[in-house]
Amino acid sequence: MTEKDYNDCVRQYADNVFRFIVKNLRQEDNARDIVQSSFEKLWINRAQVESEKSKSYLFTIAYRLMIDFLRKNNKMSLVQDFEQDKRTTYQPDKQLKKVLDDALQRLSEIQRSLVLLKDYEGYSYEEIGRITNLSDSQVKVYLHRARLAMREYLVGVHYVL
Amino acid sequence: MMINLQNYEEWFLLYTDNELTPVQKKMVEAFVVQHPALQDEFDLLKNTVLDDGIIKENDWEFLLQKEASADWKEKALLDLDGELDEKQQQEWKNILQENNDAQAFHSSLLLTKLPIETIEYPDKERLLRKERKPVIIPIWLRYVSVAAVLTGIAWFAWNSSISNKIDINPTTAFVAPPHSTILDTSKPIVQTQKQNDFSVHKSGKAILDKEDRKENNVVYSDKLESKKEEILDENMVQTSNTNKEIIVKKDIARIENLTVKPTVIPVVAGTIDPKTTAVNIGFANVEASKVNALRSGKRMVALEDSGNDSKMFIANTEINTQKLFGWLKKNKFGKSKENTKKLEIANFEITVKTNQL
Repeated sequence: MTEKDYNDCVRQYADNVFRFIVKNLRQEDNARDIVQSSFEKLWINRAQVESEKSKSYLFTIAYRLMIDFLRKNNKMSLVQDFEQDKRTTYQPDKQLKKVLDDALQRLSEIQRSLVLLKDYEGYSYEEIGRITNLSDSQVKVYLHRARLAMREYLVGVHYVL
Repeated sequence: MMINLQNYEEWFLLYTDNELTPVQKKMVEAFVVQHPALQDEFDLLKNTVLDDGIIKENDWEFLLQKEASADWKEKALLDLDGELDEKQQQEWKNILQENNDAQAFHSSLLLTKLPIETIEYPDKERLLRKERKPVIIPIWLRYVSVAAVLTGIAWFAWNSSISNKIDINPTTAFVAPPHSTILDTSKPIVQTQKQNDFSVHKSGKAILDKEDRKENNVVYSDKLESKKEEILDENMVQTSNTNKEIIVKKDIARIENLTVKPTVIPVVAGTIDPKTTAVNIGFANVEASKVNALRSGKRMVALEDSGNDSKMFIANTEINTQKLFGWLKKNKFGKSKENTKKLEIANFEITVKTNQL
């Protein structure tokens, strides 16, 4: 990976990685730090990274840094199943986007990451598995559970309406 | 072993457990035909075997129905994730057309798909990098550099070798320190002390007694009563008319040290070798930059044979002037018009004036 490839990578993927992290953490400052660290690692290891795989490599680093950050801050929930917060009530003025965002935030970190990687970046199960260090079948199962949980929440909200 | 009335029960049990070969089974059946009284007993044993036909009567259709539902739900999820191949996609489309539940499920599932959203990373330019390319120095430039350094060293050595000489002038009898002698001009001193002492002009800080001078590479001559010593330039050290010693101090730092604490300098051999002009006479500590300035700095000592015994110290080496004159006579140095002769001893150029040469 050359200097040009790296700089192209910054221009193309910095926003994507930042979106992925900030959607997970919901903390812009920490997300920015993680993105910066990810690119720093990419620069250090540029000799070993092929330019075609730079995006995947970047997301892998960012995901791991995020998991480390969450572990350090004891914010990571290891519960895989969707748990609906009974206290939350739907407000009619909220837009669908906000409802969807709420549904996303009710997922575990891993499930949320999988949904983000799938919907935003369009990665396949196999690629998501490489990034998150999960098997294809695990990705499939976690992602499907996440979808069903989100659907359940969204349908419930619409039913209330 | 053949079946008979003694062992028929064992054969019947094996038959019931289906442990006999077909031939053995026929033997058992033939035996029962031959002995009808055993027919009921044989039938009772056969009825103890459970009939697996009972399970087939259960209705598992609800399970099969559930399985079908799970199948299209998974297809719906895979379709949402774009993980269906063409064949599966076609199957899924067929299911959607036929199954209303599948359509409802698919519609609700589409809500979970995140809309594309752009969040820009601030200060993206800060992440950009530029590689530092290594600077290649041409080989010829390296050689030139080495040559320049060697030339500098050679010039430095040559410059050092022509300095540090003492000229002995029979008429003036002075010692001229090299230019590198940096004397403190802030405190000009003209001091005359008792005989055998000396005064330092414009240098200031050092007034040494005889012992100190001797220990600290001080050069002086004794009993040069009639000679006037003067400083040639502002860095010269001059002795007065009454002084009988000539002090040469090359390095002001050394002089300053001497005033506080005399520094013992290793004695340098005062070899009398006219050819050796670069003998180190104990001024090895002179800084290189100062030595470079010694272009015109000759250490000159002028002597005149007065017939009396006197001593001269050059680099801590005591030289009897009368012996020196004798040696000069013995070696029959050429006699000049002025009755003077020059010789070099340890960077000191000594000019001797005597009528007896």
